[in-house]
Amino acid sequence: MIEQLLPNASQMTDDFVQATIETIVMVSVAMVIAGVIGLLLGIVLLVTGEYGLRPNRVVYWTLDQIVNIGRSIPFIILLAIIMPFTRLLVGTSIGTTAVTVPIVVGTIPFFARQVQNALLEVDPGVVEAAKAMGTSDTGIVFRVYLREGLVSLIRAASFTIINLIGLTAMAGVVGGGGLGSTALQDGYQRGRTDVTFTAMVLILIIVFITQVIGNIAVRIASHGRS
Amino acid sequence: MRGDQRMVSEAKVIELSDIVVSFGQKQHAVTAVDHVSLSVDKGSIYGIVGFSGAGKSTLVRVINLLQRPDSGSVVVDGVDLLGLSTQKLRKERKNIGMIFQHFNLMESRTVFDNVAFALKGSGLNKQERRERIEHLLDLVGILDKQKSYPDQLSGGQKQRVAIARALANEPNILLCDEATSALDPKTTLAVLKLLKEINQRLGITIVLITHEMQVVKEICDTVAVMDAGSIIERGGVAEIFSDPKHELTADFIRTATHVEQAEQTIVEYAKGRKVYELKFSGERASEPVIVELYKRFGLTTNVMYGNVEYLQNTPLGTMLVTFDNDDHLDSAKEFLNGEGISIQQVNTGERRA
Ligand SMILES: Nc1ncnc2c1ncn2[C@@H]1O[C@H](COP(=O)(O)OP(=O)(O)OP(=O)(O)O)[C@@H](O)[C@H]1O
Ligand SMILES: [Mg+2]
Repeated sequence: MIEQLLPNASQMTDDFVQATIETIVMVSVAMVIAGVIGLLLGIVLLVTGEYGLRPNRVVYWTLDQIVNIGRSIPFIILLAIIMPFTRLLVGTSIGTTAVTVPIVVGTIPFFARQVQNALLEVDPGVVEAAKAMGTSDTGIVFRVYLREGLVSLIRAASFTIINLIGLTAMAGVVGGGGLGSTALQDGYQRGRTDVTFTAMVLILIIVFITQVIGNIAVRIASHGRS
Repeated sequence: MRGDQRMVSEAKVIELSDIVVSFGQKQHAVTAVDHVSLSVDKGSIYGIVGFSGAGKSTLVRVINLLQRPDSGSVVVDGVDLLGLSTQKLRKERKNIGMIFQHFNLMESRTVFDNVAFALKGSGLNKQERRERIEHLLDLVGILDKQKSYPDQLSGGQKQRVAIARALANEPNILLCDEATSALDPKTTLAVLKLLKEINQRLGITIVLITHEMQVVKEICDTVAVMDAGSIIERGGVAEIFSDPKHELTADFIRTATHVEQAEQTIVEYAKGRKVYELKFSGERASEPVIVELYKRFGLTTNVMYGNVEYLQNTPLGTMLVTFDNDDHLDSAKEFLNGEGISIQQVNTGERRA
């Protein structure tokens, strides 16, 4: 039955397992690296912004522009543009490792903005109260912003991960591995519609699982409040 | 308290001099606080009233330097705050508790942890911390809610948590910015009662911003009226209520003494007769005066409304009256003023359409 519906895909179980693992690894590695850097940049944007703890026009303006530009470059173009940098960094410009570089670079500004917006949702009144209690700026970032903004941050992170899954699929174009490559090279280019279809379903399942985990994390972080 | 000259100035726990705060660029600059000086007696409750935008919040935020003034000096508990490093200022801020209109509690922390937040770096160990927090929550009457989250509490309960948090570092001063403005009248009274209790039991000086004169009447010793960045009138509450010098102050008082509501009805009821408002304070009874008015000037007084309130144990009376004729009114007014009773016409005597 499955063999009839998916004549090619059913013969490629191992390839699909392999591709799924590659996708998950790429997404995880990219999220960890872009997550840390993006979080830091998001906090800097927040702190140096007009109503931030330490407003600094020059720093804010510069970073803001970089983030804007970084977010507006289409991923496919970014992929090509930073190829020399990728080669320099990981010694190759094709394959899973190589493709992780532009994915990280593309995700950093995206996540930084998400972080900034998530933390801007924290009630300024609470920040004011913390200041009035003699809390230091560092204390306010860690004990107020990151804590009060945790739920929004988790939402931002799962949104970013879903976006990342999209990028890894696109990375299939340059032989980046993962389900994107499978869909494109083993499926589309060879006219095996069932392979493309299966890869898509697997990608959707990963997206779905990400959402479920995100929602559970939100529920835990908000003590069942939202 | 020992009564010598030096103590007089030391008894001022907050001294703001010549504070100026403006916002925005030159041409569009708004002067939110315009050369204001303010000194607050230790242990007193100081009210600041004014309409929205008068500069009350800005002025009060200068006290803990949440707002740095453009010029002026800020001395709190003998310390010149403007001269302090960031770190020392943070330490001084622990001596100045603050509560807000919208409570500003952390939604992600329980009631207990909200108070515990303020105690970070206090040097207390876990046990001492727990004792302090439970004591405070007990003081504000909300100990049973310590494991709840703020969104499980009513407004009044939230403000109690905020008060406990503000008191956590045993401050000498408590700043309240519209602390009761988001509460219903009954809860407002309960919170004000709690503030009064804290003031009396712990000797904490309270500065309280409000736009309701009712609140001032309830708990303040001293009041300052702000308008457009300046303090236009200030003094003891009884004194200000019985003898406001400024039109705006009088307006505020009207809203607090229920005369406002009474006036409407009475003016209608007076059916075109002129209605006068008589105000008297202290141990002055109204009846003999009314008798005197008749004896001396042949005026029959109709009392349409009378109310006596006690402010800091001083009775403050308000009457709305009409007279049967106007013949000797000028001499009657002079007589009343001589007796320390103010008289003011509240309607023109013409019937409104
Ligand atoms: N951060 C700010 N930036 C620009 N203008 C400000 C700022 N804070 C206050 N103002 C302006 O200063 C003036 C005084 O504001 P403030 O908040 O002190 O008034 P308030 O008396 O507390 O009013 P309310 O009763 O509405 O709280 C207003 O004109 C306000 O617009
Ligand atoms: Mg205000």
